[in-house]
Amino acid sequence: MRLIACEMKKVVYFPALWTFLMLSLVLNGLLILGNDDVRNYFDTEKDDSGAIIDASENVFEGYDTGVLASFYADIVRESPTAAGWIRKKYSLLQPRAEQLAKSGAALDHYAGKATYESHQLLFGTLMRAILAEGSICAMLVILYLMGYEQLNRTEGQVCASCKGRRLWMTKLAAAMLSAEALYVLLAGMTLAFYLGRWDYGGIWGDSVSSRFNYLTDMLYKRPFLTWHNFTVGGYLAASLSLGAGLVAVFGLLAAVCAMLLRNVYAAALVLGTVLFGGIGLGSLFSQCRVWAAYFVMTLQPSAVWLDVNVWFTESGIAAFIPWQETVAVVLNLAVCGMAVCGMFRRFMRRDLS
Amino acid sequence: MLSVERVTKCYGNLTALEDISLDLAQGVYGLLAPNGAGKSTLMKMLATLLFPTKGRILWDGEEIVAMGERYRGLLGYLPQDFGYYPNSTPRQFMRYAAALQKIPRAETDRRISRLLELVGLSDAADRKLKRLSGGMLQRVGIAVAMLNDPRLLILDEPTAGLDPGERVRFRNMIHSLAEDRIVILSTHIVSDIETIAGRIIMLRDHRLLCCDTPAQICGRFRGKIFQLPADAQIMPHQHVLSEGQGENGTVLRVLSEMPPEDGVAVAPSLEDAFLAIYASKREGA
Repeated sequence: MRLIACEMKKVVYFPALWTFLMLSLVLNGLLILGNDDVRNYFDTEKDDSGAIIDASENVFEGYDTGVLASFYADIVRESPTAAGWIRKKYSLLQPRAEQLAKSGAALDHYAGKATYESHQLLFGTLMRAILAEGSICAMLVILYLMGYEQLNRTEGQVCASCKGRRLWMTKLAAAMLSAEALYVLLAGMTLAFYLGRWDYGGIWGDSVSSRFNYLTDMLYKRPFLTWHNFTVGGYLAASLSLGAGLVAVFGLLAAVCAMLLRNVYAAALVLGTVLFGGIGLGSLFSQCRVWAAYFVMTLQPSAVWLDVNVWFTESGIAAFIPWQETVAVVLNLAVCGMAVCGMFRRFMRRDLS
Repeated sequence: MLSVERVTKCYGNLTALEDISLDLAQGVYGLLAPNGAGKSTLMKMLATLLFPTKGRILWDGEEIVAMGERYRGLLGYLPQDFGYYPNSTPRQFMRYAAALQKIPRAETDRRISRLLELVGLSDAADRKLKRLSGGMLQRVGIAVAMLNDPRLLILDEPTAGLDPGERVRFRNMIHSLAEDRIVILSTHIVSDIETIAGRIIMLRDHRLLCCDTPAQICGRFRGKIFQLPADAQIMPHQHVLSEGQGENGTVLRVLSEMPPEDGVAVAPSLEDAFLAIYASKREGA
């Protein structure tokens, strides 16, 4: 505990981190203020003509997910495997549509006319920004702590001490704790500002699958079909929790690069290349219609981050299995965790120059 | 007791050390060799920063790598290039080092104060490390290495950057510390160890040349070191070791198997022996 506190103290005295955090909060504030016009009709029950909006239509009643299955299977027709996965996913979604119809989720008001815009602002724009900033903070902290002794030429003394090379596991623990704390701080402050301006008072208990909410993928508009009955509050909590997992994935990925390359700058370069290159490769596979490879690329952390606005839904072409974002985060945590263990074992028997 | 058993260290095709065997008991050992001879490689292997390609290193019969934390717990190490956190004070830096050495918190401050006093840095204990001189930093390094009261103290070129006064002070300090522990001190400055080292370890051609007392090493050159006037004719079989100021002007110290004309036999110093050993290597090359 004493050493974890010492390592966390190094993070506290890392000026670039606090500068980045301040800039992130300013950006998030601007994103909120820039969408202020939606606030004017947030939670209103009247349409543009002033008539009360009819909320009695249950969009899930008689909804056939086979239409979506056919739509996407046709897009990925070059790959029978990918088409098979898509059909399987939508066949599993059919009972969910029936459950949502039975629960009357679509009849919930949510934010009325402003539902789509406010939902996209909170769960798309803001969550994407918070996750990006939290993940960058996590990677910065990991690279900083992992390379701290090398930068200060203290590595030899530290490795010859009683704690020795195991200090790097303590560093990893301290960095992950710091990264998650920074993510909570970023999310907390951003949401506090957002919720201070938008009144979610009567909304938290409404279903996110309200008929006012919808998804559009490849110009195809469809109801907000989730794999679980989520209220707005529950959906926010689930998104934030999975976001914490994703931040940990990015942190572990940075740790793998740092331990593999043993050079902070090279590790940062490789990390950036892997993350941005992964996004580019995903696009390339979809453009070239190599769907099996594209589906594998949707599991990478940067793809999961990009699709934050469709988390826990059928996600269209961005997912080929139910709960893909959750599965991807768990899988990435496991793979990166194992890679970190492997790197650590290698480091324990590696010559230090 | 520390035993080095037939240790070889290779970096790819380059052999840095070959077939080194040593047994070290209590006392000061001076590791004396020119730069690039493998001193730091040997020191780093003893500090478990490098691993032998062949052979093994034992502490009381147990392999040091297998001992892990138990071995490092009795080790104090000052690297050649002592690193520090520039914005910390010596006291803060030593507190961190104490946490790394798993020294109980209650005991930490007392030990730090005692060691800072020992190295003469009590007054600078709360000044930032980046504001301290090279000599003061080196003393912080020694204090850090002594924090866990090590049974094996490894000091890699510890006198680099120290002024003559600090050098003497350091020698005295090491001498007093060595009573109940093994101190291994690497240097290429002969005067650093001449008076305090019980044994001198010399490396040549990446191999162990000797591990003898200074007297034994000097004894090999008894009757072979002569002092000559600076203008004396130097024969091919004679090697000039050094030049200095005598009572009647500049004089040369020369290694020669036969007494040279006008030469006065002098008692060989450790520096003469060092220069003679490595001069013959240069000649051989």
